[in-house]
Amino acid sequence: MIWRVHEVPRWWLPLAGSAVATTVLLVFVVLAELTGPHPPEGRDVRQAPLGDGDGGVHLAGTGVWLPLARELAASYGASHPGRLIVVHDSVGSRGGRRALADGVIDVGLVSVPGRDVPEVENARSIAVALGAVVFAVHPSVSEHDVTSERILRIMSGEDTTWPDGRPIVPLLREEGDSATTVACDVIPGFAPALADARRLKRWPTLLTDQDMADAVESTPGSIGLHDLGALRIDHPAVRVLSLDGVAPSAEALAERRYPLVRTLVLLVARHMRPETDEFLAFVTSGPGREVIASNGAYLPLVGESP
Amino acid sequence: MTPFAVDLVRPLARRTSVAATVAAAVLTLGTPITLYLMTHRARADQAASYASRMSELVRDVVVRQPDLWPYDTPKLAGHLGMLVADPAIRHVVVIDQAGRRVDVPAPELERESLQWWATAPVYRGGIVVAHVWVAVDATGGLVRVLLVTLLAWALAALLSTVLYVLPVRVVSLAEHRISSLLEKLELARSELATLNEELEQRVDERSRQLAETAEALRASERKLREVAGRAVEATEQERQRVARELHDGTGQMLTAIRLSLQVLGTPGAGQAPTTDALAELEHLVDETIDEIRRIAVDLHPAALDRLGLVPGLTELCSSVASRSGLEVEFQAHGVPPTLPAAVESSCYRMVQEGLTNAVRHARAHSVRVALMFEHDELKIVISDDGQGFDLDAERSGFGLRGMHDRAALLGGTLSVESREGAGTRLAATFPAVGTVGVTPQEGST
Repeated sequence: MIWRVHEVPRWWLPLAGSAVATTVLLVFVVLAELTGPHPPEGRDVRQAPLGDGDGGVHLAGTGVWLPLARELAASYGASHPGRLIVVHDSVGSRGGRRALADGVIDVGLVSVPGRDVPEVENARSIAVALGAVVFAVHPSVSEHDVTSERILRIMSGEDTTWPDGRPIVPLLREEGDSATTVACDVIPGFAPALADARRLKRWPTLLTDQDMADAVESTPGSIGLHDLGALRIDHPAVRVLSLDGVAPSAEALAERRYPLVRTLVLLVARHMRPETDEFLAFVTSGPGREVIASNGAYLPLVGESP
Repeated sequence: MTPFAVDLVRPLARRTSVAATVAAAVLTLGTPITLYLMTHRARADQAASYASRMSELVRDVVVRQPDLWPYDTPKLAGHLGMLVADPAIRHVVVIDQAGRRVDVPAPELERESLQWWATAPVYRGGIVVAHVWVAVDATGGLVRVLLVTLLAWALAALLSTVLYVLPVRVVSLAEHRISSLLEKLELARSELATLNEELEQRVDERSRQLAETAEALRASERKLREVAGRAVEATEQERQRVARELHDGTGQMLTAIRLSLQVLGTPGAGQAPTTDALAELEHLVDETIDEIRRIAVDLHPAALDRLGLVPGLTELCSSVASRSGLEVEFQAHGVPPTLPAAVESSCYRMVQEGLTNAVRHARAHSVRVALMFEHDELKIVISDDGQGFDLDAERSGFGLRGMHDRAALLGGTLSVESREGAGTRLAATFPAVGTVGVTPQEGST
C-alpha cells in the first residue's frame, strides 16, 4: 500500500518543520504583542489649587448648579467688592467632588436626588436648596401636562406622537445624571424603560444640562429632563410640563406635591480658606437665600451634613 | 539490507526531506505572516485613527475647561463613550501633561482582551496638554492569524508530506521491485552457473566418453585390422590348404590315373587292358571326383545355395548327428528366408565349427543349436553338455578365434561361456543384419 507513510524514512520531518515554523511564528507574534506600545502608569502628582493663582474662590461641579451659582457669585461680588468668585463650567457632580478632594477647587457644586443631605468623606456638605426636575418640551408641543403613565409609554416607544400628530422625540441624559436618577426613583417603571431605550439606542443622549436645553429648544417635538431653576434663570425657548397635573414650583416642592425633586449641595473642605468660608456664609445668609428664592424655582434650605 | 537491495530511497529521502521541510516551513509561515502583518497594520491604523479622533474630543473639553478638564468626567466619558460604541475599542486612557492618568469612568471601556495600543497628543495652543491612549481589540485578528496559522500548518504539513512521502514511497516500492527482480536475477544467474557447471561436467563426461569411444573405436579398428589380417591369413592358409590338397590329393590321384592310362596305352605291351586295371582306374577317378567335391564343399557349402540358411543348417545338424552319433537339436525362430550371403555363410561356418568342436574336443552327448532373428538382429546360440574348458587357456585357440573373427568382420560379437565339467555355450550376435525376404523361416531337428 502506497500510503504506509511510516515506512518512509524521516516521514515526520516535514511535519516537524511545519511545527517548528508554527512555533517560531507564534513566539514572534507573542513577542510582537508583548513589546507593543502601552500607556504609562499614571503619576501621583497633585494639581495646584486654582485659588493659589488668583486668590479667588473657585466653584465647579454639576451643570444644574451653574445658573444659581453664577447668580450667587454675582450677588456676592456686588456686596463684597474685591472678592473673586470663579464659577467654572460643568464638570459634573463627580468631577466637583474629585476636584474638591484634590484641593484644586474650593467649593464643589453637587446635586443629589431627593431631599437627603449626603455625607461626604473629608468634606462638609451643605444643602442649599431643593430644585424641581421637570420635563421640558419644545415650544411647538401643545401639551401642558404629562402623566407618569404617558411618560412610561413614551419611554417604552408605545406613544410616539403628540396629539397634533408631531412625532415625540425623547432626549436622554447620560447615565448617572441626577435628574434622570430622580425620575427613576420617583416614577415606577421609568428605570427599566430607560434602560431599554438606552440599550436599543432609541434616542439621543445629551451630556450636559446646557446641551439638553439647547437640544430641546432646537428639536421640534422633543421632550427631556431638565432643572426648573436653571430654565428660569437662563430662559431658553422651552416649555415646562406639569406632571400628573402638578406644576413644578418652589411652593409645590415645599408642599411636597411635586415629586421630582433634588437637593443642591455645596461641598467644601473641612479646612477651607477664609475666602471660601466667607462666601459660604453669604450663601447661607439671608441675602443668599433671597437670591436662591428669587426666581420661585428653588426652595432654600439651611441643612448641613454632620 | 539484503545483498540484492537497491539503495534508492535513502539518498532520495536525504535530498527531498530537506526540500519538503523547507517548503513546509515556507508554506506554514507565508500566509500567516502576511495575514498577521496586514492585521497588525490594520489594527494599528485603526487604533491610531481612534486615538486621533479622541484627542480632538478631549481637545474640545480642554478648550472649554482649561483648568478643570481632567475632572469633566461626564463629558469625557460621554464623548468617549459615543466612540466606544465601536466594539473594536477596548480601552481608553488619558494622560495629562503632568503624567497623571485622568479618570474616565466608562465601565464599557474596561473590557479586558488582547489589545493593541495607539496614542495621539492633545494640543491646546500648540502645546501638548495630554495624550490619549486607545486600545483596540486584537483578539479577533490574532485568533484569525492563529486559525490561519493552524490551517496553514495543517495544509503545509499535508502537502509537504504528500509531496515528500509520495515520491519516496513510489521509489521505495520500485526499489523493492528492483531488489526482488535482482534477487530473481541473481537466483537465475546462480541456477545458470549451476547448469553451466553441470553442462561443463556433462561435456567433460561426454568428451571423456567420446575419448573412450574413440579409443574403443581405435581399438576396434586395430582389432578389425587384426581380424582382417587374420582373415587374409586364413584365406591364404585356406588357399594353401586347398593347393596342398589339390597337389597332394587330387594331383596325386590324377597322376596315378595318368600313369595308369600310360600303361594301358603303351604300344610295347601289346596287351589289352584288363578288367581289374579298368576298375582300378575307375575307382581312382571316383575318388578323385569325391575329393574334388569335398574340397568344393569345404570351400563353400553348396547347401546354402541349394536350400538356404535354415534348411542348410538343418541338413548340417542331421549330417553331423548321423556321422558322429551326437544328439543335435536345432531350432530356428523368425529367421528371414534370405539373409546376406556373408551372414549366412558366417552363420553356417560358426555352427559348423561349434559342432566340430563339440564332436572333437568337448566329448559332448548332445548339442543344442538355436537361431533367432529379432529386431533386425540375428543371434546364434550353440550349447553342449561336454566337458567344457578353461576360457583363459583356450582363448587363443584357432577355432574360437576364427569364430570371433567371423563375427567381428560382420560387426557382430561372440561370447563364450564355459567351465570345466559344465559344458560350453557359444552365443554370436549379428546386429543390423538386414533382410532380403519377408517371410521368416522356422526350422528344427
